[in-house]
Amino acid sequence: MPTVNEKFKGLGKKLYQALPEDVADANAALARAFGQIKNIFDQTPQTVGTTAKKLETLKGLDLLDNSTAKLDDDTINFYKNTLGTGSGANGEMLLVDLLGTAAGWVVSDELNAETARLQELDKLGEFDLLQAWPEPKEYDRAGNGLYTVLYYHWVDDAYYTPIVNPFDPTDITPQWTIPANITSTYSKRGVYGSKAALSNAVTELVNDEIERIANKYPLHAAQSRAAYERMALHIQNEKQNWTKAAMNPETTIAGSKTPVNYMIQNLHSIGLDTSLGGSAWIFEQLADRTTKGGQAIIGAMREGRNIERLAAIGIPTTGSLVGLPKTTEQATLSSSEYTIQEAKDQTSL
Amino acid sequence: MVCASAITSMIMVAGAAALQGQGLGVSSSTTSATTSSTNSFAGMSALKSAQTAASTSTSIASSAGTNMISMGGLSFPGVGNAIPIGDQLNYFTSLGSNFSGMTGLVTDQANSIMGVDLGQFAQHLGSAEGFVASQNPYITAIGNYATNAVVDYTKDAIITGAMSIVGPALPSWADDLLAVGSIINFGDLKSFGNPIYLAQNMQNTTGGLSVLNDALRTVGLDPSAVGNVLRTTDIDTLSNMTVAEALGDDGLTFYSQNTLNTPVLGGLELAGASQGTATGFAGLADIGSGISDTFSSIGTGISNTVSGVSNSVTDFFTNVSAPDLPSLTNTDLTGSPAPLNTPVLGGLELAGASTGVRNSGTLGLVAPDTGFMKAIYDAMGYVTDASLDTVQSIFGSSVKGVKSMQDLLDPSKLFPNSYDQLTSLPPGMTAADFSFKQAQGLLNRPTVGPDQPLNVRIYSD
Repeated sequence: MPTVNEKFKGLGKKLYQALPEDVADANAALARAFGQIKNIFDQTPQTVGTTAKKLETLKGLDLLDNSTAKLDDDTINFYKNTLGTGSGANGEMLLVDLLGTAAGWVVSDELNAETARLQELDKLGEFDLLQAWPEPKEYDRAGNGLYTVLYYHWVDDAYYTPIVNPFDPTDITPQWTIPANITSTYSKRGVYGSKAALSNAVTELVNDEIERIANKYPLHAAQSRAAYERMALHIQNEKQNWTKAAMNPETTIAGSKTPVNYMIQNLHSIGLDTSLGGSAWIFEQLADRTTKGGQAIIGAMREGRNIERLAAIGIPTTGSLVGLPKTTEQATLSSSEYTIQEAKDQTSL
Repeated sequence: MVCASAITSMIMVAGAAALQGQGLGVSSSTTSATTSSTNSFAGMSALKSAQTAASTSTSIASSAGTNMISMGGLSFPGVGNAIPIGDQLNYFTSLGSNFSGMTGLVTDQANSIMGVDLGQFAQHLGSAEGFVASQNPYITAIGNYATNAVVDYTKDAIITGAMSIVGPALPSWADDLLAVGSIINFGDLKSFGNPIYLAQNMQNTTGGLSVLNDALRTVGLDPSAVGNVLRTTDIDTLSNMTVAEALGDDGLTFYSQNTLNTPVLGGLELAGASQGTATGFAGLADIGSGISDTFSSIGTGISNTVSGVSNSVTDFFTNVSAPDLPSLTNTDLTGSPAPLNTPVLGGLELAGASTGVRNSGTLGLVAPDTGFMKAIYDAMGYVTDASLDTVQSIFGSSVKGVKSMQDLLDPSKLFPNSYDQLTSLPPGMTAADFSFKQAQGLLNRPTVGPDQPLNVRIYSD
């Protein structure tokens, strides 16, 4: 008689009063073994046996660790760290991870919050050195702020002071000059050999001034950094996700109507996706509520959700129009019916 | 994109707008936010104009371009409408080459998504929806992975619906399983190996226990009483009862004591009859009708010396009429104990009745305090040869190499081709209150501790 593994000793204790202990233990162990098969309770030995004979195992696939169903670390890490980069709580990809900026995802809240912070500091006069633009507005006013200088420089090219060869008007040496009378840029006054060089000189002063403000208002500055990093990161991720989704706005065909048709005819379904950052939210954000069409887009999504809710209790909605993919008019096709004469002609005597 | 839904008037209105490029556009919240930011302080507007102008005349990769859109980027980016530049953030290579500060970047991005017309946006939507729908199943699955019970299984177990847990050589135990017919019932796994359950299973299949009758009588159990309790009492309860508890006086038509109390039939003293009443003997007629079988069985297990007894006994009981029974009531029929191996019927010695004594008019081999389960199991030991074939026929089984019905409770006999590769969960690795019907995760596996082994072989080498 075969010996039952010691690990199972005592497992069949309830049967000890009647059966040999080994037999009792083996029965209990076998019951546990079968008990691991899902829905085994609804099966018969015949159904299980017949199916089990045909099942395939991983025999020969030695690179798969069959000692456990656990995933290898490299597999887990790939999904968690490489693939699971979406904004969902567990890294799930949200629709806004590809289309969110247009709907205001992340950017609207962050920009609005930043606006409030900036306005607060503006009232305190902290931006005066940057934005001063005294009247009458001239590029070389002594009181011009740093941003004002940059404006005149890039928009109007106001500091372009080329040297023209008096003997050859076509011989021009380009140069740009920061007037010495502008207080804010006094330290950078002088001539620059390129437009970029002058700009860089001024932006250096801007950075110094912004750093001063940041040091004075560290909380505002930190919140600003966090907000702008979130926006930049979101936009960067969107662009990266576009590539993964084979979405390239630069090459998307313009002027096509088929996608629009399908999109509109799917508004009911689009409205059903009420997940975080999903299509219902995006369409609500994109819909122009100032137009009838925009309101109808939102209305159609609500209609879709209602259709599902009503269907759940067996109430059909009315109002669906008959929309056919083809006209009901029939084309005239070539005849396929033989006449009597044609039939006779085909028949040999 | 999912399939198109019903065309409603609402859809028609929306369609009329969309096909004319109306109704959808960059969110008003986005445009409002960028506008507000641009107007947050007077100088911001000038800066943004400068940035925009710079973007048309210089590359952002140039120092001037970079500087123009990153002023205060590391300290207070909002003041400079800057794209923040950090150690891990290298946006300039990924955000394109023509933008003007953060607000310009946001506007460009939003416009790219919406496209130049809604046809472009609809295509972007389709691509995005497809990507999200195809990617998330992996991500959500890995998120659930840590708490998923399947981690305790082998990969083979997963792809075979845990059948490889029973035994990796699937065809082998499958063949065995096909041969067991309905001997085992997956609907009641906890009753595996329980002889009471097997008897009940047979009764349920055939409507009675006829093929077991002889064997039951052989061990001293009344088949009809056994049949009754199998129909009316659950197996768990019966499994913890003695024969006396399970069958009561009525069912103890056949029970035994440790000594043969001078059993007498046909003029012989009836051991134990002192307990008998009219009620106690109510089944005598039945007993009489079945007694020939009883002694026939006894003969196979005891001795050929009982040959011919059956007729005498049958005659005896046939002649016992109910009105006579009260005369036996309160009559001490118990005489001096006689050796067990000397039961006598009608003056014949029943050689071989080695372990039991009869009560209530016939013989039995088990004591009343014997476990009911054991009594049934013992009875199954007497089901052999043709009777065993009948049993297999009832169960639709074709188990080879079994010698008695007891073997049908032995996994090593039921699974002759595969028993030595069967595996299971050892005790101690599962919750104390193991419930087979507690489906955990994908499969019926109970909770398994992190340091506990997976399935181990049921039989040692």
